[in-house]
Amino acid sequence: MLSYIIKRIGQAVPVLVVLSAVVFGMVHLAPVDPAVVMAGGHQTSQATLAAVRKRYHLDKPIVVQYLYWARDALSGNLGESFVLKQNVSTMIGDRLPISLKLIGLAFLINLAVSFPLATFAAAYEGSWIDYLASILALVGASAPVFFTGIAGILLFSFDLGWLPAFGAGDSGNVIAQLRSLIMPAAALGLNLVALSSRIMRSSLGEVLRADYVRTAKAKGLSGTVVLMKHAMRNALLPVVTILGLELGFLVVGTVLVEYTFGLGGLGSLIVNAVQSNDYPVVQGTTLFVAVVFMALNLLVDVLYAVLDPRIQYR
Amino acid sequence: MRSNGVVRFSTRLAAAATAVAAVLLAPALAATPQKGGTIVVALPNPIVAADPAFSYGFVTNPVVTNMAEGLLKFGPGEQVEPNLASSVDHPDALTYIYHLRTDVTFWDGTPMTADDVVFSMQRYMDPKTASYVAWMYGSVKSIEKVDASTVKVTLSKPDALWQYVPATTAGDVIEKAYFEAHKDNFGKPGGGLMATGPFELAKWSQGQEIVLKRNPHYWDASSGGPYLDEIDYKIIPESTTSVVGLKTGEVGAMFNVPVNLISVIQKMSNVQLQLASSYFVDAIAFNTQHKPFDDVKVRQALYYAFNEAQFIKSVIKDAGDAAKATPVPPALWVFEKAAWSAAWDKIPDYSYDLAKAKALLAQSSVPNGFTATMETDSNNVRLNSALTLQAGAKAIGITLNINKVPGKQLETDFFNGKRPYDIIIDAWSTDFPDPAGNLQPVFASQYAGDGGSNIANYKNPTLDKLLSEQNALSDPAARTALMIQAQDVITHDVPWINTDYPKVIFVMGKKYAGYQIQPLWYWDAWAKDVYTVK
Repeated sequence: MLSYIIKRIGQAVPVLVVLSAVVFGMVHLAPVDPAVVMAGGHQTSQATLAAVRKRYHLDKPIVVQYLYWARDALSGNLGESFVLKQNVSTMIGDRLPISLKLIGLAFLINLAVSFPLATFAAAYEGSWIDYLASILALVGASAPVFFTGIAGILLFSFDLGWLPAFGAGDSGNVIAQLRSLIMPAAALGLNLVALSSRIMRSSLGEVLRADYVRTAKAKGLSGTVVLMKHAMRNALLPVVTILGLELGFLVVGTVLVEYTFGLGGLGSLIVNAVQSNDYPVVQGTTLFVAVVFMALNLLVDVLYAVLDPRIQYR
Repeated sequence: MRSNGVVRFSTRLAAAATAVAAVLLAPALAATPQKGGTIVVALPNPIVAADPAFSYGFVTNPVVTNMAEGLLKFGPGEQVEPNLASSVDHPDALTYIYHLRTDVTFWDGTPMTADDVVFSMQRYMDPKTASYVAWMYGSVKSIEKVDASTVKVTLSKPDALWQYVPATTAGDVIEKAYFEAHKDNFGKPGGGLMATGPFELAKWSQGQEIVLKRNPHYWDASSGGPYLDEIDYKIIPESTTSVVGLKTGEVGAMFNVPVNLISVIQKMSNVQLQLASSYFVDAIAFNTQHKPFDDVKVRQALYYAFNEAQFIKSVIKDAGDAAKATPVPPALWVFEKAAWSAAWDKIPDYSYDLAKAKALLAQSSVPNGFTATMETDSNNVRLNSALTLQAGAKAIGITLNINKVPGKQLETDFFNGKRPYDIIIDAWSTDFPDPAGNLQPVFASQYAGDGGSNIANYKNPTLDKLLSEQNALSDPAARTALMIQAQDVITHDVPWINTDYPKVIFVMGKKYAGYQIQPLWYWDAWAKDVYTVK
């Protein structure tokens, strides 16, 4: 198992090299002069522009610029933001906790809704519960995050005044944070309920029709025991794959949700950087998210073995 | 300044709102301000830095101007007033002597000295700092300490606009010793700054909020404020969310008000909407070095083909005033008003007239029409002005295509010396209460290169001479006479079609009072006199 993990990490290296070069190149294709961005998009003297170009190596060929960046990135230094004058690694570190809380809560909401929904739908296949679950899932999947987000703000903050419209709550106050994060997390998590509940339901449905479940029922076991003990674990395998993918979706989804709800996490950092042509931040955050994706994939593969001991890794 | 952050709106209800605001302010002014309270201010983006060197924008300035103060300030009516300097001597055209107050301390209690002033100004001027306000030091030769409370600025050439610079963030004073101890993270979260202003930096969480608290030892307590205990700036990118915050009371004030939400704001009973005429000009600028826009007849023909009245009526509504061909809007007649007003009446009238447009085109280098491209971003006002001109141009046989680019690209092309466009649509305002700021940086040929703002790529030796001559004088009447001659050249040559003169907008909860927005609001320590209405 350990050697497998090491091998997988080794495979990730060339992927990262190619990815970083592509990200760097794409960002520099934009028809915008970074020196002007750094000068704040204001009238500037030639001397100031020259000083900026020299300081950020913008007077060097792009390949040399890439090598400078890659060298620093290897040591964990993702460079300095053109616009916000801060270190990109520090900015990611500062903003990560809020995104993690949001993703965690959204993931829990997703599980808390889709598990019961899928279980009931599978257990009562073809009944009204099954259809209702399908409809709910469809609505959830069809509404984009920024729509449910704004609709939520208008309903729960503007009209009812129950929840704060924006912000992450006081960092020392768990209740305030929950109150602040519940709406963005729900907007984000409910979007995925469709995917996870449908996969879970069909996986469970398939297992429930399997021979060994019939055997278990024939032995006289109760429906609940059959469902939860025998069927569930075997039905989980495809679900784990999907959940891993969904974590990736959630990382991407934070971009929209954080923007709508004024949460200063990683997502809003990315949006702001793209809007302001802040190359180092775009490069740094993209690279960071890519690494997170790769780590999640690895984690999912390892989880397979935990759930199904028959799976061997070499 | 370019209008990168300005968000405008178009609604007929705006005039009503001004009236409402006036009524609402009346009782507030009668109340005696008391200390206490917190105001939450919505910002659409994170601030660039808590550092005057990088405070030159509509998001960063309303934060930094409440912390750092300049030698001078702009008072009501945008008149220059003393601030950290109690007086200024101007013995000859090149010398400015600033007499500093001796009772000013930084937040940490250290007295402010000439060393701090010299250090701060030299830092803004140094190209290595890459300060956003470095350009204001273009004609400065040296900044020297005369004695502990006197600073001398020597110019390399006379510059009428220098008198205003110490009232902007380029004249803000920071503590030298503090900067040197925090070289690596000055102006960033963790490093912060050390200044003299009415509010000091209390908390800064990256991407979330910046909290300022009242400076209890503020030197200028005699003038009233600061009253508020705290200003809490929250970063809320989605404007709908900010407006919901205004309704629920979670947000107390907002400068960058979006177009489409004004009608919602006006229905809310708990906020006041302020509008004021500004120094801004919305313009469609011709690249006068690109054929056929080098031909004045072509430019005039297109000006006549722009239906300004309809554009104002359907797009701008009450968010701006109708414009003439001059880049000097009436709000900018801050001195020699009578002379400007008389000149205003003589400005050629380019009101929509397709017959005149066709006649001029027939006499031009391209009597049979041509095809060209207009560059704009997706801003509502700019895009609609492009569409309005496109329709008029079509009627006289000119095909104008619209090249819609991202906002950042428009900005970099604006300052790109290559001038890679036929026509660019943008806006401009002087940063000083002086008409020269709407003439020189945008029409003098020296500003056509990289980093310059002569978007029309306009090169006219006569105009250059008039503008540099007026800039070398200090007598307002003599300067105005030359500037009006420059205005005559521009209104004949029309390097720009002025589509409207937009207004500046500010929304604040009714439970607050003590600030009225003015054209150069972004230099104001606006929260200093704001208080909670009981």
